[in-house]
Amino acid sequence: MQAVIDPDALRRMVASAATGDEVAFARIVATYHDDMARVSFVVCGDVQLAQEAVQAAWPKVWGKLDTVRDPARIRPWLVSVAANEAKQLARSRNRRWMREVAIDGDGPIAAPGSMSTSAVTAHALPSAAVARSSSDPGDRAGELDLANALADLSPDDRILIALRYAAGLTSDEIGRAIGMTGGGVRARLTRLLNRLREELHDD
Amino acid sequence: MTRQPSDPIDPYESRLARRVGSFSEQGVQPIDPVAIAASVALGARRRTLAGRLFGSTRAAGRFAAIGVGALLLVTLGAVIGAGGIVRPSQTPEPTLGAAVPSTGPGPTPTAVPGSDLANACAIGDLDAHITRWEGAAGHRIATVEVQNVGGTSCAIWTLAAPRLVDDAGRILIDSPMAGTPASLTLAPNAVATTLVDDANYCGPAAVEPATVAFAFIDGRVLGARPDPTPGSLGGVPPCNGAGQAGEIQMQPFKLAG
Repeated sequence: MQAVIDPDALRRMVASAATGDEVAFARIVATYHDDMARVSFVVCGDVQLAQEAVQAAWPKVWGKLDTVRDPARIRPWLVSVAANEAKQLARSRNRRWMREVAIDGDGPIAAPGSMSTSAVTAHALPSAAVARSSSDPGDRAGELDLANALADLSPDDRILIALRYAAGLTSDEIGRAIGMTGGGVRARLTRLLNRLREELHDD
Repeated sequence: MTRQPSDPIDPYESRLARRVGSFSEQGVQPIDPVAIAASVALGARRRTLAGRLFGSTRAAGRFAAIGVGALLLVTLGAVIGAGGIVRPSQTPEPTLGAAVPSTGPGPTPTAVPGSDLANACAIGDLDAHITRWEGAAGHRIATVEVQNVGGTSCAIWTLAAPRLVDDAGRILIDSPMAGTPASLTLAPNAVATTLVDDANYCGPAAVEPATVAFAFIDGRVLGARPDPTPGSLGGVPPCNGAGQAGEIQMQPFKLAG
């Protein structure tokens, strides 16, 4: 659930945290950590790495809270910091967004290291994508398709998808977060949408 | 979880948002925001201090080596100048509350020249107690209050070497002081507060209730009374890895309220 906070309360919370108030900072963590984890997961495709990315993001946030001019825009900033951490962590650990190329209809999606006759893998599927996958076979296949489609994107494109569809940011918010114009974001998203629609057979 | 952007670009977006939103839920894990905030703040203070002292991380080793050499020279000079070994200027006072052993596995604080605190509070004038323990992924965090019950203003050090001590008086985990302590003046009845974070105790079974103690740079040790709350979480953290040392760290004392 996207956090909805009274703007005045948010402003006070950010202002207090910026002066070193750890209780206020803990409230910010409580409010936005999950959003950051969702975005990080879409970017890096690994639950543990996503959590590490968010953990790595918080000290940077703490150090720059006093530069936040508009607390109302803190959420786009936080999720973009996490997205970048996820991208860099994945790169530094030489992790690739992993991909599974086939599944056996009704069988379980195989986990890394347990690939058997039910799956032929090009790379292992992210462990988390298996662990909490839907129990519905159709949904599982859909998640697998999405995982494969994301695996084919560049890290920057995954950041765009994550900020837009995991965090629900507007084009302008994404543009401010990643240093593009809103129009540029929309153009890139349009191309990505067409590509994903085709790959996911969502026509 | 569906997060529909408020500025739709394409009708297909809503469908993709549902798929990505649902998929992204896998990245969510339970967390303890208080522990994260405390850890981040503590880490920032350490980095700030290290940065001020040594500049970049790469230069830190070089400067540390120079610093150690300089410290040895100064110490040698002081020993020669004084005609003997530097001795503590103050005798450690008995602790209040929890039994804190005079010997143990931890470093014994040694009084150093210039470590006298002007108008220092007598340990007996301080009432230290844990108000609560909180837990977080392998950690225990104590909120500690220290009240000046002595009737006159006096000062305490803001930092000390923290120790986790069990009810049998054994030091379970200890750590050297991290940072440079400053003086904090407490008016009569004023309260100073701090957070103490410990993790990874893999030793013999501890006797609860555990508590914390603060070994100050002047050689005195202040023990805190354990958390009296029935059903308190307790301060002995789980063993996260027997091959790794336990950890305990504190934030500087600051005035409460």
